[in-house]
Amino acid sequence: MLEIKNFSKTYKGSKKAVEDLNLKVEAGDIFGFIGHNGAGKSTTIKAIAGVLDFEEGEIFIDNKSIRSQPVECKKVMAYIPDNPDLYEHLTGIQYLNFIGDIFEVPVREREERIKKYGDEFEITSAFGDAISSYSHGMKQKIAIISALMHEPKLLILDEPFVGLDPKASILLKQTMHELCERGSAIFFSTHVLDVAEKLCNKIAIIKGGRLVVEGEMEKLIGDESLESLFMEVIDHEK
Amino acid sequence: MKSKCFLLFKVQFFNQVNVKSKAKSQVMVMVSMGILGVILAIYSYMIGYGLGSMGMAEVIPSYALAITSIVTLFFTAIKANGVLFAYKDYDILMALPVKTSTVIASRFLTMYVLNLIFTALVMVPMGISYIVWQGPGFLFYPVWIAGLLAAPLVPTTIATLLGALIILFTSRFKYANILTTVVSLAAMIAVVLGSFSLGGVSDESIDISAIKSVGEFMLVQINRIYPLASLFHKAVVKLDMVSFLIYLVISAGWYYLFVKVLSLRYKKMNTGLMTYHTRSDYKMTSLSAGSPLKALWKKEMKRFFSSTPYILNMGMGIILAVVFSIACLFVGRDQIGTILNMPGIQDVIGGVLPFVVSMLGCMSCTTSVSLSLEGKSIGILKSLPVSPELVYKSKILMNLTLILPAMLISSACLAICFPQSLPGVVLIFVTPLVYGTFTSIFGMFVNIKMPNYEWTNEISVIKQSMSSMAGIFGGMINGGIPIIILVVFKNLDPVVVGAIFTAAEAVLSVLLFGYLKKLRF
Repeated sequence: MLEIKNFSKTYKGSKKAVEDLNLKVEAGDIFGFIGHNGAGKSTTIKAIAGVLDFEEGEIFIDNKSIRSQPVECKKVMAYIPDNPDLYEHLTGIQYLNFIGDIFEVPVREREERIKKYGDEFEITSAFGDAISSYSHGMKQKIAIISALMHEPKLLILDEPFVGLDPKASILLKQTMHELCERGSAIFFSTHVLDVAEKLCNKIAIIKGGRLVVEGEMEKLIGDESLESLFMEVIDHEK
Repeated sequence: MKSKCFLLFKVQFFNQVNVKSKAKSQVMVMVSMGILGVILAIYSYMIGYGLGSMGMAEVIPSYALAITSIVTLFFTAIKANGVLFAYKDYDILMALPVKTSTVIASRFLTMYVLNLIFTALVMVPMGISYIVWQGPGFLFYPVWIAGLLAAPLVPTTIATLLGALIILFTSRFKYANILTTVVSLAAMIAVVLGSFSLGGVSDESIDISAIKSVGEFMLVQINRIYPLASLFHKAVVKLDMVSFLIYLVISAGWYYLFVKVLSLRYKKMNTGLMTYHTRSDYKMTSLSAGSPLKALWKKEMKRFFSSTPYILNMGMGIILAVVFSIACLFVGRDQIGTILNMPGIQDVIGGVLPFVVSMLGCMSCTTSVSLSLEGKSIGILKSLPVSPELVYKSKILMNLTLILPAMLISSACLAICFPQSLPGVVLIFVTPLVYGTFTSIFGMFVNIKMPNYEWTNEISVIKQSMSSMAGIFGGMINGGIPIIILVVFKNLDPVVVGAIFTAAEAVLSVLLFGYLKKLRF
């Protein structure tokens, strides 16, 4: 579903943010992308989402290149950024309907999914209010609902649990599992190792823009915890 | 207190004028601002010199002070909300260990300095023209400089209060933004009309026979519009130090009072302004679907109508176009040349009409800022499955939706007011449409090349960005060139000139849009 080949990204006037990254995410995977602040997680995620241009390497989504066929790639995926800077002048429902129009989701499906996720995340009653009046967590919920509305084959999330209340976090994890059971793939970054350990079947650890560990969770941690593995890898790489 | 105030001011000011590390774009912005400044200064000098050449040099001080104060009042009222009230970093700033009055002073200082730059660009050249004609003594210089420094204080404070009161009143209503825009517009028109009615001549108020010259008449008018101008006039022309001191005390005292009184209510006012009235009673109803282009276009329209500064700045051109053309119906064709204030325009008025409508309409160029206004939400647009071309189309369509109806109304009014030959009538309708389309595409091009997504206050994009200025002035120049050609070369056939320019503009529109499609944002 997602294949990253020799991806590198250098920002103007600074060193490489990501260097020669190779990854593969299959349908049904919940793939955790772990690393320090500034390790290159957001850069990679933005490149996958088609938000950030890059010159070196290739990123394929559903066997299509994000560089040469960006619209086709974006049609089958959804991206939730770390900071949900949504259109504040719209109401929640206007934003969701806008996303529905962009992804050309049939009206009936759109209404059903908005109602389902709106009720689950307990935000339906606030749909009529302007997004500018929402808290960070409410904006995050709207971003999540908008991402789920078109049943993406690939869901990309950057630190998705930040700002969510405990119930919404649990719901999001359940929803991620359900989505993968229906054949989608999920790729998300996180600092929270406990969440990654419980949620992911595959992980990758990135440090200083380079991939240091990648593989199936069970094989990588064995009888240890993800926390021990992370510390071991980070210390070893110093 | 002073150092903290200056520190806060420094951060705010550089954020407001958007000083970036990108040397190339920074140089471009500085050069363009410099050119605009030079044009304004030359224009101001010419006005001052013109007054002097007509024997009215004594009017210059009052004129300079009144005109800068009225313009300052008008533009500060638009941007006060967002600089002094309901700004994004309010929480961070108020949590700092600084007095409320220091915060107010630092925010006010930002507006004051920006207004002072404008005031200096008008008052310094006008002062020079006064020196040229009157050759005043040494005392003139400190009086003029002190007067200049004090000039923005009163209008900035009045405008700030006016802006805040409007927002406080309108924030209670559901459609607060639209109401704010309407009330702001009405208030500004009321201020302008009110000041002119104050300055109006009536038999009871002024003894006409007592007025010896046009200059004296103008002086009376200006001083009635802006009473502080009278004090400044006495200080500069008669070197009346008592009037000068009263002028300074009123300006500084009013500002001091403003900061002190506002400190008492500042938190309460901001809380009122920043408290959202949510209903939280939404029930799912059936939704309506549309195409991606329609969805993007609707988003653009909602963005426009959600922002008072956006409407007031970018809507001004179409408002002027409609007001001008409707006024033509009532004023009559003979008076139009006088109103346009361009020598020799009466002879070619029929030929220049399509370009006058085009020029005014093209000042409303939302495309020159609409991409930048995406701000931090630009990531959403980049991650959506839509091509850049579709995004550009939606933004261009939005601008056309605003300007084309206004242009058609204007064209219809002018076609009635100035009966033309059939080709002339066709041009009155077609030329503005073509010019409007070109300007919309040109604005889009400018904004793609000069985006600014890192703003914290939309005013910095709408009013002060390079692309905004390029859009508005580009539109004016674009429509203005054929007017100048027709006025200067009166023997040219206006229909032929109009047709050539319109055809050229249509070709340019097609070529530029073709190029635009290949650009990524």
